[in-house]
Amino acid sequence: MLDIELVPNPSLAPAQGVLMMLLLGAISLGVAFYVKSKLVKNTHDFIVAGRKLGFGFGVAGLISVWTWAMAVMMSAAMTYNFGLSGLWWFTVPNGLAVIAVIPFAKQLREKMPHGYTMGEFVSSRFDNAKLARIVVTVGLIFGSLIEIIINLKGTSLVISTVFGMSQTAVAIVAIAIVLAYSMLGGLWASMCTSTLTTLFITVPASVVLMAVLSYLGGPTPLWEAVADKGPELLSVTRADVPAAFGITLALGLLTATLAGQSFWQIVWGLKAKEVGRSFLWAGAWFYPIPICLGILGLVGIALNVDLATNLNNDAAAVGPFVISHIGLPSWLVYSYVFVILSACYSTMDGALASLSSLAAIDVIKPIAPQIQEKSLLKFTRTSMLIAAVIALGVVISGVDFVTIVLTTYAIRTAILVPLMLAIFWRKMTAGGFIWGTVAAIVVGMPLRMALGELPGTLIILAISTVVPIVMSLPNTRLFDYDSLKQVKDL
Amino acid sequence: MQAFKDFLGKGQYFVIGALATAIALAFSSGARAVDDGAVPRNALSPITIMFIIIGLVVSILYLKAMLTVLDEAAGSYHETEEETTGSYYAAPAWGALLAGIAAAFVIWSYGVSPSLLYLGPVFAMISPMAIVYCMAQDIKNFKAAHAQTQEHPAKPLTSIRS
Repeated sequence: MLDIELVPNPSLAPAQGVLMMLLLGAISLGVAFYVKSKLVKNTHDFIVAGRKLGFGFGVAGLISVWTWAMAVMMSAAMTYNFGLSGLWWFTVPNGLAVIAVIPFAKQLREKMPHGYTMGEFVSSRFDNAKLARIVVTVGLIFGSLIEIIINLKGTSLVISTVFGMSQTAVAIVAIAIVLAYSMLGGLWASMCTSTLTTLFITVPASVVLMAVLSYLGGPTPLWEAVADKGPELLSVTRADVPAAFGITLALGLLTATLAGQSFWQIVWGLKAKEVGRSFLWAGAWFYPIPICLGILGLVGIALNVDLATNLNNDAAAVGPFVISHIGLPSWLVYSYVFVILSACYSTMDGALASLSSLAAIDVIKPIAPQIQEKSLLKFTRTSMLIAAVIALGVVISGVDFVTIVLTTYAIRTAILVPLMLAIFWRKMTAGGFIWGTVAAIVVGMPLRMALGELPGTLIILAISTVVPIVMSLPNTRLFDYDSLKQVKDL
Repeated sequence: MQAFKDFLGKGQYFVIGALATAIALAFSSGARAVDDGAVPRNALSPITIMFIIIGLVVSILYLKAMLTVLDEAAGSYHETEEETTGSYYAAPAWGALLAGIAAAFVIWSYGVSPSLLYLGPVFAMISPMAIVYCMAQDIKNFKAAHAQTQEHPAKPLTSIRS
């Protein structure tokens, strides 16, 4: 029997929260300074790390970029909501979504070795079709912005909950730190700090969970307490979970990787021969993070943590709540917060780096093709600042950003299949790409709002599959993928 | 695997021994809890201390590997690497299948026996070691490239890229 009183840890103060944020920031800044002095000489280095990322940094960077602050908390939240079925449906598609990029990444890295962004690929693939490029670029920019906003919001929530700080102060400090080191070294800085943060996520998570299990008297009392609440909580075969969130999440994860610039930037930043195995290993070794942290959801169930009174109706808060309320020593609370901060920083710097490549290649270069190298690098860095200010504005204004999330989701889902077809199907036409995407958004979005997430998502996918195929089938001019090799470095 | 062993040196025995001890401790403390039903409120148990020690060792190895890769990358900044089109390290489909099945199996195992809840923290600790292995591969490749450069020095580059 678990007899634990849930009370806040009285020794946690706002100053400690600020110190932790600054500590991680100082470490990241130190790494970024080193990287800038040794490895970043021009815009090419800044946005694709000179295409010299290796296996180790590739795997660690991908894991870290994919480990959102909310993902750290959501693994526990889904377990808390649905038992092990929730953890299963949250975790398994997550790693597979990273691995699913491999065939597409290999194809593009081989056929377009000097590429930078998906917008650039679409433009080259469809004979400089501006509308297609704009649609893709807008989707990718919104996607990266959303990554920053969600992670900034998540961090603000956690730090303010644990240390009693103002959410606004947390958001300002966090974004300022991430912006500072990201502006220094671009993708190299992002990948180096992300490699470091992967260590800061995995090792403390392992120690904290081991300490939690020890504190509860071993895993048996916890396991028995959960089993007492209902055997279905320890089963992975609950029939209601796939429809409740599992299938929609799996599709959403695929759009986030295949239609996310953070991943494509790494594809073009990796040494070509490392692309496949980096994504495979990253997908595989990402798994231990949610599998480990998901146990906190079981602790929440076992300790009768109440969704309304304890978590303010937000299940994502179950992890931080458990850690800061069961009576653990403060250093373990700090370790857990460090895990979340690391996840947050690494995802935000990855998103900022991806935004910088979009700004340079899909916005600045098309507007000013003859721009000088120094000016391009300056504007590229400025784009990070603009993105950070927008994200901060959204978070501290308290504006409901559900509309932005929905719009981003719709565009990403709508371009998913057309992008896949563009990468592999030689018959695919610009018309098929544009109208498939536009029809899916215009028709699919209202239906999604009316019918719900799962049917709506399936309709968007169906439209964006059928329209391009029907429009492109009669095309007799087959695309020569080797022509993409004509795309040059900056 | 040889690159990984070379990178760890004598440390490999300590890492393997520490991990094996930690796993054994985890399962034995789980069994003890079943036997006596004792519920001590102690986060800093022997198994936690063991994990902290392993964590420190893993962190040191990880940082060492990371700094070596960074140094090598900085040292070879001006070197161009010949890339054969279509040449990739293997990323077999069965690897993806295996990863997915293994993850699904571990989560399923949580519901089978309380002791298997330890698998999560154990795998989270192994994860950075897998990355150290990846970095060891990079270090091996850098060394091979340096050796090749010394044998066949490249002509000075007038321009790195077009």
